[in-house]
Amino acid sequence: MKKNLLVFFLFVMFGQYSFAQGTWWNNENNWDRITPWERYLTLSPGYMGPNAFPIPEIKTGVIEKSLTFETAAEGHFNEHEQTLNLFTRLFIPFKNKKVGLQFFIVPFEIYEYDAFIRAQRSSTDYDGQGVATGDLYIGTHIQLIEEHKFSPDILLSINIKTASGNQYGAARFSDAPGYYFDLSFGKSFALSPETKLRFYGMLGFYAWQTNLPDHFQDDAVIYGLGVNLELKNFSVNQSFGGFSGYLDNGDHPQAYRIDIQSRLKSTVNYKIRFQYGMKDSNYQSIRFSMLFNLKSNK
Amino acid sequence: MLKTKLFVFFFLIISSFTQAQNEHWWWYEIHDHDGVTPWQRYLIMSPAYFGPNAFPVPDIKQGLLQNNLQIETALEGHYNSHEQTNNLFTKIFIPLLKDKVGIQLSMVPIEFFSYDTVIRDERFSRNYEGTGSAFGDLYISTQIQLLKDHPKWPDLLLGINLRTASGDEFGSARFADAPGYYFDLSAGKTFAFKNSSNNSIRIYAMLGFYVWQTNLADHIQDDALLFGAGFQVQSKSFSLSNELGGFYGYLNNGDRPIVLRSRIQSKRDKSLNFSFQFEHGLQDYNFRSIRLSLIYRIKS
Repeated sequence: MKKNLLVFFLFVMFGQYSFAQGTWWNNENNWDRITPWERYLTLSPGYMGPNAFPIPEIKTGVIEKSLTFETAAEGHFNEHEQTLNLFTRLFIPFKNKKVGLQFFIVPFEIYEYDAFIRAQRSSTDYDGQGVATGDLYIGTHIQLIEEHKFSPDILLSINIKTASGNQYGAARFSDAPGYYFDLSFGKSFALSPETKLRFYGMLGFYAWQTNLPDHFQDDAVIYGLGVNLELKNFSVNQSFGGFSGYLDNGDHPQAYRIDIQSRLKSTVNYKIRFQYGMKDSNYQSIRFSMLFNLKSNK
Repeated sequence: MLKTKLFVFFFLIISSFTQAQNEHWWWYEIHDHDGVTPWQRYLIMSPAYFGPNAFPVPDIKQGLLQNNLQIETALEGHYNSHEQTNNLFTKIFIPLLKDKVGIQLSMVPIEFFSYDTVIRDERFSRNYEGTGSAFGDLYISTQIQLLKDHPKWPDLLLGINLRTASGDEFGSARFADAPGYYFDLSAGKTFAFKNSSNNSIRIYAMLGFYVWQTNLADHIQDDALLFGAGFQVQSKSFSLSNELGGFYGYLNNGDRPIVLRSRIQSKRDKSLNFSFQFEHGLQDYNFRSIRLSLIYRIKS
């Protein structure tokens, strides 16, 4: 009897251990019992949360002139997933208005997705809901040409994507560093003393680490175009951009963005953004921002 | 007859294909390959198991931003009893805002390496002969002067550094084919010698944080504490610096290199100067290295 009890105890223990190993995940992903689960995730925008590989801002060829702090509430939606997050950005210009440093991060996001997304991304999050902390991005912006008679303004930026994000298992952040360089061009045309139209474009190179043994990095071309209408009290900025990776594994996100921003002469301004994702960025996103112009370097 | 020729032809085609597939058969035998894990996962992404230019100990900065546009081009050698590496080294510093911000690019454009079977097998290298040439990683660094010439406080310099994955020859364990980044904060203060306006000594130290990608499933990054300290004696015509530096990773897989460096540099009032550096690896960086540099300074 004592022996039977012992066998039963061990059976229950073993059964619980197997369950803890993630039976549902093993079945859902046809686990080969060898490859670590981390290798099943696909490190690309098409197979991670909306904040894992955001399309970089399409810059306008000109550096920001003020010390700016932006704080925003944001939402990304599609029929299988919704993500709500904060977004914060700090831009620090140096005195000559030619160089600046930018930091931005999603301090946290609250996500929820269905079993379809869970299976598609090989996520280990059974419930498909939780909270994650994002990656910190650090960029150096350098104004190469500004207000030239013929040439457009040209801005270079060098950006590091750190690996500070968590919830890799839930396919929220990639737990991998990356970097991108971009060169943006822009030229403004005055329509009236208080109205300006600015055309701009951007080209760049984006590299990030994958978990594939034969392709350690994915390399992508970044591109974007836009037009910004500046009026006395507000501006309307529209842009289209994305990047195109060479692995073709969900690494071709595109988005159209429209921003409407107030141009008040006070410390605080407001911005609303709508983003429509295409190809490997299947989200409709909205962002409400408060922008604090803390100091203008004169 | 035609049938026999056809058979021989196909036999030759198939055997040459098999030979290409088994070009690295020796590697699978030596390392008791499990038949499943990709060979790339066997390499250990740490300074001790890669070439000397894969994870060099960063420069120990002195808390002070350079004033001028400066280009350094150097010949370098790294040696131990099992390996020798000779390479070029180039570095350019571009001041963006005088005494405040600058950007630095550095890289090893080419290295020539030669190592024996001990190193080859220790590093899981796929390079049977252990010889060849490789192209290095580009480092891009933004440097920001936070404090300078304060009566009491030392000069303070912040560095934000990106290591790109531009290097090749990963299979030979020469470059890691993985990005990384590090942040460092350096502090330094200069003290003039008594009765001498031209001679001084500068004491400096640096602390930072270094992150790089690994190929381990359960530890995708290695994180390391970056550290260093040194002093520089400056005379009218030359400077001599001595420093100890390294980083201390948490995986403890050869990721704790420490080096001693001595450097002497001319201080001619001309655009061209010279420097000679000797580096002695103490831990997880088993090389004795020399670097002969030409330094072009373009006054702004």
